[in-house]
Parts: sequence; structure tokens; C-alpha cells
Amino acid sequence: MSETQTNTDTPLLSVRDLKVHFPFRRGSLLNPQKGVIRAVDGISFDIARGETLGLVGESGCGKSTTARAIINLVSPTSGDVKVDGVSIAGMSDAAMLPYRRRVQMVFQDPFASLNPRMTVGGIIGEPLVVHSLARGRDRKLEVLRLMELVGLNPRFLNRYPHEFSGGQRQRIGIARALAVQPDLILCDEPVSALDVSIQAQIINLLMDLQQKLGLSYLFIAHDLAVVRHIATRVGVMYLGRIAELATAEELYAGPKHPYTEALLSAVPVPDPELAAKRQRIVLSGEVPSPDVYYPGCAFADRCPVKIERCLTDRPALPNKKHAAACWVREEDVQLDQRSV
Amino acid sequence: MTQTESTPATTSSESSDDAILSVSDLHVSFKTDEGMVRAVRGVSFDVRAGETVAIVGESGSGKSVTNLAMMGLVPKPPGNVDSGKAMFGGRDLLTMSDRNLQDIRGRHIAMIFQDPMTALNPLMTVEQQLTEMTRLHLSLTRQEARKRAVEMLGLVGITAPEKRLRDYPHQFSGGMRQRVMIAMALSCEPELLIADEPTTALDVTIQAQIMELLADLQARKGTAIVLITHDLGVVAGVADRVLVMYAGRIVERADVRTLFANPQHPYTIGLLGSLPNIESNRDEPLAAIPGQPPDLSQPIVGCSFRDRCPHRFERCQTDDPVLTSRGALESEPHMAACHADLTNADAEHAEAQQ
Ligand SMILES: Nc1ncnc2c1ncn2[C@@H]1O[C@H](COP(=O)(O)OP(=O)(O)OP(=O)(O)O)[C@@H](O)[C@H]1O
Ligand SMILES: Nc1ncnc2c1ncn2[C@@H]1O[C@H](COP(=O)(O)OP(=O)(O)OP(=O)(O)O)[C@@H](O)[C@H]1O
Ligand code: SF4
Ligand SMILES: [Mg+2]
Ligand SMILES: [Mg+2]
Repeated sequence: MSETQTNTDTPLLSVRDLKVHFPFRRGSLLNPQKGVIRAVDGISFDIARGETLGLVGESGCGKSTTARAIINLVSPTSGDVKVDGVSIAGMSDAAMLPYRRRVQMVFQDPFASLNPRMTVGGIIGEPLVVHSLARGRDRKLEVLRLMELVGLNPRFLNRYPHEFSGGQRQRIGIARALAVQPDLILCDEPVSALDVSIQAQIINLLMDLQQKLGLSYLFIAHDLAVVRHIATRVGVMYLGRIAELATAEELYAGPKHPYTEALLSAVPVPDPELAAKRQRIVLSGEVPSPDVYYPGCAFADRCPVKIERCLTDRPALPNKKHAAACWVREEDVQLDQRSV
Repeated sequence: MTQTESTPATTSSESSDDAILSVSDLHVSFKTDEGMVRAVRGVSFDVRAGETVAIVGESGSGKSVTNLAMMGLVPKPPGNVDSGKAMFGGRDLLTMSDRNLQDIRGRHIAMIFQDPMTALNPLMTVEQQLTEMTRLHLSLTRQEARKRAVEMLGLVGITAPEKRLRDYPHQFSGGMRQRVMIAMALSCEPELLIADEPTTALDVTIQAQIMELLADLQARKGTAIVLITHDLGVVAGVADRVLVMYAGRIVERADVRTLFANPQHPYTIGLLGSLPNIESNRDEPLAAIPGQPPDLSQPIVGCSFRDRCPHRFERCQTDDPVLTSRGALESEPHMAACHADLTNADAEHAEAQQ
């Protein structure tokens, strides 16, 4: 357990009603259009110490934006992010510095997220410099140790990112995040470019560190089998909101939200015989757009079990252990009052 | 049953007449501070019209470099295509002039890159990038090209495509960028599509939609697809044949059912054994192949997998295994590059899996 753990009752990370809207201006001079993209539109969740929250959902539903808002890479439009009970929204860079050490991010794109002009040694060692954690020989030894930990040949210390394959670059990002011994790592598709054997090594490593050091993870991934394995709880996002939140066991054993159901039915199975027989739930209907405000449930148009109410009233995510924002599948759903 | 006569990887047990792409004995290396990195060390394979060939394998095994080499996109220097052929429509892509290659790229062969930013220009709008190809290759007017762009974006599941045409790539999510690239690659309906990890950033529902789109193109146009992916679920669902790469070589090849049911190379067996299961238990660590792949800047003696291999014996230390037949099934030969005969190890493997 880390020493910084001051109060065991406050969650390590607490996100409340977070919204990130990107204003845009499009169209021509004659026909200007203005509006906002509601990338993240009111989500709340906690991550406790030593816990892994999996975050899954449709491409473009706001997962990366959520993670970026948590480390202040984009400013939230509204809502609050607390680390250990302290609100970090609007904090100055200097005041942010300790949080930047405690909360690290592994970025989704292993190609764009590494500085092309720095060697691997420089990239992995940089956070050690920024946070004055190790210098000189110690730093080099630490970098070599980290490279070995993620399965990179330490001989490549002086290579540049473009000299690595996609999966090798992804592991450079992971080594960099681990360098400063953070409390929380926001992992945005951290294993998507790895073959399943190296993926297994990395996942075992992350889980091992969690056991030993009490690390917490926000784990964004499209591979639902991987999420099932690593996550203690899972949030399913749909168009900027959380549609369902539950323990991993409950979610996979009995999904409540119709979107979660459709998602689970589409998981490809690594078996050609079974794959040929698989039936997936094909969603028809209009895929909603993040620049439109939907008064009802955003999934309504594609939903196989919708009722009339779904088109006009927005269901809130109830505050309970296995919760779904759905008028049909969830018992005590309230009208979402906050959102306009 | 293992037949022991060896089939040299370079010759043409596989070079069938109906192949639209035929790669033989490709070697690619990179000059680095640590020496020559032999990224691709003698790769041969064929792709026929209308079929999907999946390439799977270890991260860093040379999958991307193999395909970049065919498209003339290995950066030179530090890279170099040392030898080999890649025949497409009777011409060798590896010796073709840049101009001729450019005519073929995009129009006849399209590539979906593992790195979206190789294909997307951050300073151009999505519309500019999508219309550039179709105007050039299909001679569409601006209007037509725009219409085609909207249609393609819709097909890859981008909502409100008209509105998003004017966006720049950085305004798109990771998966949306990937889909723009897919739309670009498909918009000229190529005869050969090389897709390098096309669905890593896509959720499973959109992934299924994209796979259907590819299948549809394949059915209509007879497009051949080379699909590089780590997602063995996708491989099981769409591939006809599979090539397994390790340390710059193909170490096993078979039709998809045989490969999953009866893998013969210890690396393939380890890979399939590392799959997380949707029902897997959190308390048990995932199985992984222990150890690291060899350093490709050093000479490799014996089998490149030997240090990690549970089946190794003396011969593996000294002799380089070539692809040998493990029994043909239907049209596709099943071959593996391994000295051990694992045809009877099946039962043990099945037990170990329990
Ligand atoms: N420009 C370069 N300079 C030096 N080495 C390189 C360069 N590009 C690639 N390599 C090396 O060549 C090998 C093959 O790389 P390649 O990108 O083909 O791997 P891959 O099989 O596609 O892996 P991944 O699944 O991780 O994408 C790797 O070991 C990589 O480090
Ligand atoms: N800088 C930006 N400017 C404008 N729109 C943006 C910006 N960044 C993200 N968006 C939009 O916000 C929405 C959510 O994007 P985000 O990257 O969070 O999705 P995601 O869930 O991570 O998707 P993926 O699984 O594809 O990576 C998308 O519609 C995207 O186009
Ligand atoms: S040749 Fe030997 S070391 Fe190589 S895979 Fe076969 S048994 Fe293992
Ligand atoms: Mg993302
Ligand atoms: Mg690659």
C-alpha cells in the first residue's frame, strides 16, 4: 500500500457529472453552422485503491476524452474530478505537478504519442527527470529495468520510436507510465497492438503490480475478454454517458442494458467452427450523433426493446451496485433531471 | 503425419497460377546502431482473388515490414529490400519505378496502415483526403467525389458524415480515424487490400460492420485481402488461410480450421494458449510464452524459437528448420518450420488446456 494513502474512505479517483463539450464552427460563409460535440455528457464514477475499472463502448463514445479530462489534457466543460478528495479542475500547473506523478496515462495511439526526436531511453526516463526521481546512472539502470519489465530488449535503449513495431511502441508507453510509480494509470487501449502472448505478459504484469503496490487502473479497451479478465468493475459507455455499471462478473453473466447485450453478442470467438454458427444482435436504426441533443435515451432509435417513453425521457443511471440507465430493463430508474 | 522431405521456403509449392499476388523469398533489413536488423528473412506466400489471408504473429516479427516492402514504403535508408519478388499482375512490385508503383497504389492495391497518421495528413480535412484518391483514380468531379466520400464514411459507421467531412483528423477519435483510413482504402474498390491491424481501435459491433463491408467488397469485386491482426477472433471469423510469423519468417501456414484445431508449430500452440477467455478467471494469471524473441541484429543459429520452446532438442540448437509439410487439407497445404513432430502431441496439448 502506498504511503500517500491518507484517507481510506475517499476513493482514489472520483468523477462527478463530468462533461466535455467541443464547440465547433462548420459550413461555409453563406451557411455557417455552430454547435457542440457532446463528447462526454455527464458521467460519474469512482475508482478505489487497488481497483480496476474497465471502460468499454462504441468507437467515438467519449472514452479517451474522459481519460484526457481526468488528467486535465482537455478542460472539462463542467463537473468535477477529485484525486484523493482534492478537486483538480482548474488547478495551476505547479499545483498539478504531484498529481501528474500520481496519475499517469498510457495513450491510445502508440505512433503519435511518443516524441519522435527522443530515444527510447529518453522517453522512458523523462518522467524521472521531471519529477526529480532519479539521475545519472540510477536513471539509466531504472530505464533498463523498465524496458525489461515490458519485454523490450534493453539493447534498444538508443533507438528512436520509428525504429520499433507498433506493439513495441505500445510497450514503450507502458514503461514510461510505470516509471514514476503512480497510484493510478489511465490505460487507453494499452494492449491493442500486442499479440495475445505479449498481451498476456503485460496484463499479468499490470495485475501483479496492482497486487504488490495497490495500483489502480482505468482500463479502456475494445477487447471484452481482456476487460473481463483484468477489471473488477466495468462501465459501458454510449454516446458520452454511462449506460451500465456493474462488477465484471455481473455484467458478463447478466447484462441489463440492451446496448451491452448487443456488444457482448458481437464478441468474435477464436474458433472457426463456433464463429460460423454465431448469431450476433445486429443493431439497425440511426446511429446517434454527438452534436445532437437527444431528449430521451440516446440508444432509443437502435434499441430492440424500446418503449414510447424512451424517445422523450432520459433515464438516469441509478446509484446501485449493478446499474443500467434503461427504462425497460432497470427497476427504479429516475428521470435524468440534470441534463439539458 | 509429418513428411520429412523438406520444401524449401523459396520455391513454389505455393505459387499457384491463379494468385493475384505472389511474394517469394522476401528479405528486408534495417541499418541500426546495433547492427543490421534482419526484420524479414525469407517470406513467401500467395494470395488468390477473392480470398482472405490472415497474417498473425509476435509483435515485431515483421508483419508490417513485409507489407510495407511490397508497397515500396520501407524507408530507405535505413531500410533495404535485400532480395525477393512480389509479383502482381505479371509485374514485380519490388523493382517497379516509383511512378508505376504510385499508379498501382490506391487504385489496384490499397493499404490500411497500422499507424493511421501514415495515411492521414493532419493539415487536411477528412473531405480533402477522401476525395483526393477518387478524383485522381476514378476521375470523379468534385461533386461526385464528395458524394462518394459521404457514402463511404456512412458505410464505415461515422454518424452524420456530411457534417464531419470538414473536420481535421485530430477532431476524430482513434477509432474514427481508423475508419476514415478504411474508407479511403475502399473507395476505389481495389483488387488487393492490405489491412494492417484495421480494427484495433474499433468496438466489436463496428468491427463486425467493417468486416461485413470487406466481405461485401470481396463478393462483388473478388478483392483479395491480406489481413494482419492480433485478434484471433477476427481471424477465426473471416480468414480462409493463416500465416504465422515469428522472427522475420513464416513458421506455420494452414487453412484457418486446421490452424486452430491442429496447430503444429510450438509458437502457434503457445499463441493460441495465451488467449484470454471471455469466461476466464481473474485469479489465475494468463498463460504466456515465457522469454523474449531473438535479437534480429544478431545471427540466429538453429531455430529462432528454441530458447522459448518446450519441445526443443539438440538439433534445434544447430539446424535451421524450414517449412515442411504436415499433411494437406483440401487445397491448402499445412506446413510448419519445426524439427519436432507434434502430430501426436495433440492429446497432451488438449489436456494441458483443460
Ligand atoms: N526503421 C526501422 N529501423 C530499425 N528497425 C526497424 C525499423 N522498422 C522496423 N524495425 C524492426 O523490424 C522488426 C519488424 O517490425 P514490424 O513493424 O514489421 O513488426 P510487426 O510484426 O508489424 O509487429 P507489431 O505486431 O508490433 O506491429 C521489429 O523488430 C522492428 O523493431
Ligand atoms: N479535439 C476535439 N475536437 C472536436 N471533437 C473532438 C475532439 N476530440 C474528440 N472529439 C470528438 O469527441 C467524440 C469522442 O471522442 P473520443 O476520442 O473520446 O472517443 P473514444 O470513445 O475514445 O473512441 P475510440 O474508441 O474510437 O477511440 C468523438 O465524436 C470525437 O470526434
Ligand atoms: S525446431 Fe525445435 S526449438 Fe524450434 S520450434 Fe521446433 S522443437 Fe521448438
Ligand atoms: Mg479513444
Ligand atoms: Mg505491425
